[in-house]
Amino acid sequence: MGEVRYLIREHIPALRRYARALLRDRDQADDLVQDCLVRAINAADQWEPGTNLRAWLFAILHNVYVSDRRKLARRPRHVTVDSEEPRLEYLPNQVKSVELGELERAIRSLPEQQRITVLLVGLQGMDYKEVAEITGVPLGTVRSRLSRAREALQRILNDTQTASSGELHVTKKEVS
Amino acid sequence: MSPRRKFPSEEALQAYLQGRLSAAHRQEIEAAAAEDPELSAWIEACAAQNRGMHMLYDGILNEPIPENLLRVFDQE
Repeated sequence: MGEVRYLIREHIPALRRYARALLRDRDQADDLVQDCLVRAINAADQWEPGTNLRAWLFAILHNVYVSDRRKLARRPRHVTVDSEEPRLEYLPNQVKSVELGELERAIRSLPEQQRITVLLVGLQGMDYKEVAEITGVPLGTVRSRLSRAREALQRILNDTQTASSGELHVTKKEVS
Repeated sequence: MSPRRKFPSEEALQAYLQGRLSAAHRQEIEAAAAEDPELSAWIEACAAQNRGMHMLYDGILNEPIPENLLRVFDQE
């Protein structure tokens, strides 16, 4: 039991990163992680040593998220202006910040199941099997959600690039 | 748009991007991409999405863990 707690702690940074990507608001994200940790510790004897602890924890977080999200959506917005700003403080330079802002908006515009899937694969580095376990769907569903998410993100990012280089685009069209 | 293709599977491609493939499988994908500009563009597009997500959110990994999350572990 003591050892499981130690192992669970190791996953807190990754759980916080994922929760923040899902919820954007820092306090709501950490509330979600806290609920997940309480449940995980209470159910720690149900985790089978040697099995995938990360997937087990993310599945708990996913279930809490799914059951809480209507409640979270209804909760009065008392977040500060600061926490609603795009989190661009990690950026290496200004040029990239425009694209990253677009990427963040694009991720937020995805249908929820697609957003969850692309974050678990692209950000958390999970394979289809883990995502299927966490989200409780067949592998084929993970595959189609990820494809749709990847394509939608690319479409949005390409449109943004086209819009910002509109003059070049028109010139090329006239030539062809 | 993701190219329609038999090889590599989308799953293998994601694993490639996550650095989870063996050297042999990695080389197979790189050889396929070298022959197929559409595949190569798709790989770069997905890699750019992954890089962007890491740039957006990896900073959180280095934040101190809030006290209230650590206190969860003190309770019996």
